[in-house]
Order: sequence, then C-alpha cells, then structure tokens
Amino acid sequence: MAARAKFRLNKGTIKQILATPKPEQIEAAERVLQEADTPNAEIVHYKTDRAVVGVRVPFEDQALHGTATRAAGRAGLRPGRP
Amino acid sequence: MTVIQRDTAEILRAQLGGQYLAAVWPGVEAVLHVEDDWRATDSSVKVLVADDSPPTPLLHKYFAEPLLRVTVIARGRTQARAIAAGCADWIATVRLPGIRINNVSTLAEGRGRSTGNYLVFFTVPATVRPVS
Repeated sequence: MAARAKFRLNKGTIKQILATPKPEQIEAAERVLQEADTPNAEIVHYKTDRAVVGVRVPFEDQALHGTATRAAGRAGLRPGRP
Repeated sequence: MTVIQRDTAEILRAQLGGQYLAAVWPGVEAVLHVEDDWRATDSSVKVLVADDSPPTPLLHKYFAEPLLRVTVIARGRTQARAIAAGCADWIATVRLPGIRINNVSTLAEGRGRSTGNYLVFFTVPATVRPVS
C-alpha cells in the first residue's frame, strides 16, 4: 500500500508572507497618493493580521471634501466596496 | 436613447432632509456644500451629502455605482454621533426611487482644525439606475 502524502501547514511562513506588502499594494497606494488633492497626504505601512499599505490624509480634508475617497476612485479603486 | 444621470447626492440630500431630519432632528439642515470656515453652534448643525465618485463608464451602459459621503458637522461630539448614527440607520433601510443602497460604513469622527467643529462621516456605496 502506497504511503499517504502528508501535508503540514507552515504557519510561520504563511504569517511572514501575509505580513510582507505586495508590490501591487504599494503601487496602488502610490497611484492614490498622486491623485490626492492635498500636499498633506502620505503613504503609511502598518499590519493587522497582514500587511496594509494605506494613504493617510488629514481627517478634515476627508470629512469635508472626500479627499481620500475621491483620490481612490480616480486611481481606479473601489473604496467602500468589496 | 438619451440617458439622463441622476443627481444621486441631491436626491439623497432632499429625502434625508425632508423625511428623516425634519421629523427627528428639526433644525438640522441637509446641504450639498459647506464653507471651510463655517462654525456649528448648538442650534445650527449641518449634514453634508456629497458624491465622491470619479467619472466612470456606466455599468452595462446603464447602471452607475456612486460612492456617497454623509458628514455631520456639529459643535458637540455626542450630538454629531447621534445624528450620524440616525442618518446611517435611516439610509440603510430607506427605499429611494432608482437608487439601491448597497452598504453603509461605520462612523469615523474627528475635529476641524480651525473651526473646532466635530465631524462625523460615513460612506454609502450605491447602485443607481439612470433615467432613460
């Protein structure tokens, strides 16, 4: 009888992969940054259970003028939608 | 065929102001624009409704998918959050002609740097059927 193939999940490696920003994440954030109508926008890197690349704008700019959501839309992203 | 795109922000502003705010928060005004230096008072609160969508091709040449933003501008945090939460609940359940509300985000809050206004906003992705 042939031996059954075994699979062992390497959680450490998976965690490391998820915690590393993907080039397309960085590229998308740079596109949003270019579209933002404020000199105060910046790219931020942080981690939840995985790597996140975000664009941060002053709160007032987003609340009153939609600076981040408009920039994301112009960059071809769909903020607020899955 | 002529496709006339709906002014989604104006429709939402009119319905929100006329149906919800007038009944539950009398005196709170729904608007499409607020000056940067406008200061809220205890009796003067505004709800800003805006459409943050970029120009995009109409989905299947028929439906548009705007991203709306609703921002409550008030003098106090508690008041701003209460009005924003009420607006979000109302928008999530209301039926508007030609507009389907797909979702309502959580509330985000902060303060205006120069005015001291409390700002609470949420976003509303929607699907809109143009008038043909």
